[in-house]
Order: sequence, then structure tokens, then C-alpha cells
Amino acid sequence: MPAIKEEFEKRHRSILGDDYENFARILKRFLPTSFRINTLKVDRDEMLKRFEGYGWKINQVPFYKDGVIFEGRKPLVLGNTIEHFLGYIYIQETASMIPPVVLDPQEDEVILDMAAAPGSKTTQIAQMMNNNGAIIANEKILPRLSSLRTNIQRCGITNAVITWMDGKAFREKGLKFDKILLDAPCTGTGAIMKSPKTLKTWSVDASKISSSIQKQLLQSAVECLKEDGTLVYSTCSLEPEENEENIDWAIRKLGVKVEKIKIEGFNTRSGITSWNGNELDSQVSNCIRIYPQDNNSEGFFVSKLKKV
Amino acid sequence: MGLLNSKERRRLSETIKDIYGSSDFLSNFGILKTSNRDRLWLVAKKIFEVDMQKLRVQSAGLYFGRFDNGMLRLSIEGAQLIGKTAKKNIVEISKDDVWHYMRGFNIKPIEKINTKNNSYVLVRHDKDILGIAKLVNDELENVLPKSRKLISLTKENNLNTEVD
Repeated sequence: MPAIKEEFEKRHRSILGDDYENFARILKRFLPTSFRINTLKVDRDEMLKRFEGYGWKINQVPFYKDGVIFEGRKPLVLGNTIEHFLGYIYIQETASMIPPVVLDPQEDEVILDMAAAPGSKTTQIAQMMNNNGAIIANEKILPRLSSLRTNIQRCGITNAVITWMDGKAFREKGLKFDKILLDAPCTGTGAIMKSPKTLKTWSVDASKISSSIQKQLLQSAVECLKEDGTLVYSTCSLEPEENEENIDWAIRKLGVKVEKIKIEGFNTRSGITSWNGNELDSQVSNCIRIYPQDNNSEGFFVSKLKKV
Repeated sequence: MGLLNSKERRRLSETIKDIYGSSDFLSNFGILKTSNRDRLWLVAKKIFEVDMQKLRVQSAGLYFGRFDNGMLRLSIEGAQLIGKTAKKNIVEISKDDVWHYMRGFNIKPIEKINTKNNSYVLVRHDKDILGIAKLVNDELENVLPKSRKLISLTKENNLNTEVD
């Protein structure tokens, strides 16, 4: 694993205090493997029986009934199993299942997933909608479209349209959505356990560049949202520039309200309300931070915004 | 891309019933057809409420299959949908052959089935419909798309572990 940069340590020590040591320690560990049972294709209980027959030791993800997590190290390459081949399961990190749960999609809604590839959350949303309603699964980067397409197909999804657009362009289209998921492109510092090279590539400047793109995407998303619609903004970054500062900006510039989030059985922390000497809007504390050391999962930031 | 009209839908339903003896499930969907290769896509009806003209659409709904020399060549998902109620043209394969099938090899069915040579059949192991194959001289010719063969799947699996 690459060394932790001084700047990275300094800022996360300032947020975490003594808990920083636990954070730095867990970054060197492997993530437990989790996956989702795709109830669009199979019955959950039947699948659980099948796994039991294989001798798999698994537990349910506490906040999402179709999420499953291996106890200890996984016994096999899940991607090589018949269940994966047939689209009965989808390999997905536990924390990554949270944004769709917060979005709470309903069967008659029209939903935009603004940065959808590789499709983990799109396919989860489709599953939660029981393949009803409509999802626009958008991706800007062409090479990422093939994984999105394959995953949507493998999961048997009929209620999604794949679009290839810059998310920023949606605001010019005049379309309005009931709900929007903006799982924004980010520096990925919450996913270091999965992708240690992030420690090398991350810098304050990289977070600032990300933040600028994220704000533009946020603005586009808010403009495409119906009155009283819900926007879930999430990242797998733990940097305040890409998270709380963006939400503070959205409250002031875009007039959104931030709703409280409660994730059953999962440890979350409130969004921070000051950074770099600046006080942020108190509503930012309604956002959640998920730290790897709190649940042995990826790190994530999730916020639920209402257009008022 | 255009929507199948009611006559075309009926014809498709009849073809499916004829070949596989399965009951009609198509009424739940809009069915889109590409103009060039007769590819069929099943689309949830709510999607048609969205103004697609304004979007740069890459694909819509689930790829169901296409007509290949007049024969319906189903996708894995198309086969799974039909397989729920199919009564004929289903070939059972052994547990060992599941692995071979997923890797793209031709295989032998457990029992001979009585159907036309060079026709497509559903491939099943136990309760799982794995997809389709072409029955050629009592052997199942594997027609899995490259993107779904196990080697490529492993690659896709790596894509699943992208930062997400």
C-alpha cells in the first residue's frame, strides 16, 4: 500500500482526532465481500437456502434486506459462480447500497441516475422499483457504458434507459424527475481499501477540481428535479470539499433543504459543520459520513436534499 | 428503433408459444425493434412517458433477442423469461456441463430431444435456465455472446469493483 500523504493525514486527524489511528489502520485491511440478491430474477429465501447448501457463511446487511455480506474471507471468486453468471447476484459493497435506500424509489416514479456506471446503484434502484416506473441511467464516459449495459442486462432490467450525456447538460433538456441520484465522480478516498492507489493520486487540488465538477452536476440535478422532489447526493470520498462544502453551497445557491438520514443498524456520523475555518450551514449536519472503521465497509458520504 | 404494432406483437407471442409452449408475458411491456438487425427490446411502459427525443439514448429496456434467419435467437434474459413457463424445446444439461456452457463450449444434452436440427433450444440445469443453444446433430452449439462468457465475465466482475 502506498504511504499516506502528510496532507491527507493532517486533514483527517483534524476531523477524527484520536480515531484517526483506527482509520489509518483499517485502510490496510481487505474489505469484506458483500453482494445483493437480485429479486428481479430469483426469490431471496430460495437463494439463501442455496447458499446455505454451499456452506457459505453470510449475514444480512442490516439496513437492506436483499444485501448479503460474507462472514470472514469469501470462499470463492463470486464473479465465477453460476449465480453471478445468471444475474441472480450482484457484487456490491455494503456502503454503496445506502444511496438507493436513502433515495427510496417508488414503483411509479421517474428517476434519473446521473452518473450511473458501472450500474450497481441503477440495478439496485430498478430492483427496489420491481422493474416498474422509469430510470434514466446516464453515463458521460463512453468506455464505462459497456459495463453499465452488461450489468443492466444481466440483472434483467426492463425499466431503464441508458443515455450517454454529460450530466451537466440535463439542465438544458427541460425534463423533470421525481427523484435523482447523483453519485458524483470523486477522488474516492473512502474506497482506499479497494483501491489503494488513491493514496498516491489524491491531493487537495484533485479534491478541489472534483468539487468544481460536482457543483455543476448538483446545479444541473436540482434544476431537473420536480418541486418537492428528492435528490440524493453521494460520493465515496471523505473530503469535505467534495461533500459538506458542496452541500453548504447548494443550500445557499440552489435553495435546497437537507433532510435527516437514518440508516438502521449501521454506524454513521453527522456531516461536519466547519472546515478550514469556515462555518457551514447547520443543515449540513443532517448528511451522513460513513467511515471504514465504523462498520468495516467502504467510506461514503450521503445527503438527502429536497427542492423547496 | 420503433415500437412493435399489435399485429407484430401477436405474431411474436404466437411464435414463442409455438416454439416453447410458454404463456404470454409480453403484454406487460412495450416492445421496441431496431430497424437494422431485427433486435427486440422489452421496455417498461412508464419509460414511454419520458421525452426520449431530448436525450442521447444508447439503449432502452432489456435486450430480448433477435430474428436470425427467421428463427428467434433469445438473449440469456429472454430465455429466462420464457423459461419460467416453457413446456417444450428445453434441454437439460449436467452439473459438470454448466461450467463448460458458461465458458462457451459446445456440449451434449443429457437426453436426446426431438426437435428440428439447427433450431434454438432453451438450456436448463435443474431450476436454472442458462440461456439458449443451437441444436446441431444432437450437440448443443454454444451461442453465448462474448461479453457473457465466463472469461469475459471475470473481466466484467473487475469492472464491478470500480470505485462506485
